Amino acid sequence: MSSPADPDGRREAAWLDDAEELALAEALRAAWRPAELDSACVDELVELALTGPELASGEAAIEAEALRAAAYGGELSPARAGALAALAVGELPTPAETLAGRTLAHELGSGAPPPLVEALRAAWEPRELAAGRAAVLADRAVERRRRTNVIAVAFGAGAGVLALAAGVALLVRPPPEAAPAAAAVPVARSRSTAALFEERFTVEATSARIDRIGEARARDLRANRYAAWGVR
Amino acid sequence: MLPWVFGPEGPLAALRATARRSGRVRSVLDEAELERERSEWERAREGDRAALGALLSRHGPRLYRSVLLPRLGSPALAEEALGVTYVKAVERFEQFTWQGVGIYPWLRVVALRVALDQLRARKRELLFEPEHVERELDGAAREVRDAEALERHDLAFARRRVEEVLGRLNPRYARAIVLRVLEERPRDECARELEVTAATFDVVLHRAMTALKKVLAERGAAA
Repeated sequence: MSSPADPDGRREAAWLDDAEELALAEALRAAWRPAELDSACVDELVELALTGPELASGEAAIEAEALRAAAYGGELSPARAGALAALAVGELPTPAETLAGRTLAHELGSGAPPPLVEALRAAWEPRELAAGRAAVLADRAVERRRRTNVIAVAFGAGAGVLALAAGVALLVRPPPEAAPAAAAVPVARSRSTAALFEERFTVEATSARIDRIGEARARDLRANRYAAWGVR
Repeated sequence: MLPWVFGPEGPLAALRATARRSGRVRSVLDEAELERERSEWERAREGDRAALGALLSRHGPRLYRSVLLPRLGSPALAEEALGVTYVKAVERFEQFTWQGVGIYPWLRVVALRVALDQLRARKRELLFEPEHVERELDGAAREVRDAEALERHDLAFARRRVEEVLGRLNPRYARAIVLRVLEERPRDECARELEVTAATFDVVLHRAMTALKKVLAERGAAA
């Protein structure tokens, strides 16, 4: 970068010492034309990476073995290859999955397996019924049948006795007293409304007159019904 | 199917051999036993409750282990179903006519019907759909095999169902389920088999069970 005071940048270039100049030149060469790395150096780096204590077991060990096989040649066992493939394609477990896995492990270890585990085991290797349990259940079924029969017989006998008693009662019961003759009670009959209006007839107050007629006829209807029912 | 899981060299083959060696399938009813059963049936028909109880309880363990438990997937449900089976068998005992193979095939049909009712009313994940039991019932009415043959058939049927659903999973998931759930091996041993840490195995098994539920849900929806 040049400035008005130093138009060709000579002052900045003069500030680099020899070591800086060499590093800059190497970086420029590496970027422009990168050189091959010595194979011994590669081996050393790979070995260094694959012997860390954190790679002794689990998924890291599988990955390390795969890397070794890739770096030095050799074959992975089918199980290792399967595990590596599962690691490669499987997403990392979410916290929920980790928790669910731990819960399942606990349930399996505690002897209270989830229903589907129980169903699988029941279908694959069904366990025996507890000794004597079949006899208990069979006796219960037979006894239940006996009790049902006893109840049915008792109920039938009771119903028969009641029916007989009802029949006898019908036979020996005196005939019911005749209901009071409705016709003997005087009932209101249709008649003129003239008796309802003593005042002089005018053209006004039509609704009031209709209401009066309605009330009178409703009263007559109630009285007639009471008479018919014999409750007057 | 997965040959390395279900084939002759797979872990399931070893499990099958163990089951055979353990003699879990009972011997065939011999003539004397069949005659005794017939005698009990006749006495039960005449109202001998003890004979009826003996007849039912003798076949209970077999019904529970080969018919009810594999299909219902829970000891509690299977025991309840056995109780209901007995009640229905007692109620319909008059309908049974003596067969040359004993009373077991008839009891099995009653138990399958009870299992079918429970499967239809289920509220949990199970391996069997009602349609599976319906298909079994179609042929069960004309069944002429004896109790032992039917027990073998029912146990094999349930195992085939397990193999079928596991065969639809990722092989690594199926292996995790075989090791930990079916073989009931310790967690650390399963992790070593899969060459992962125990914590990772827990996650793998959780994912395996989730995948299995999904397969069952799809099958249930398709059935």
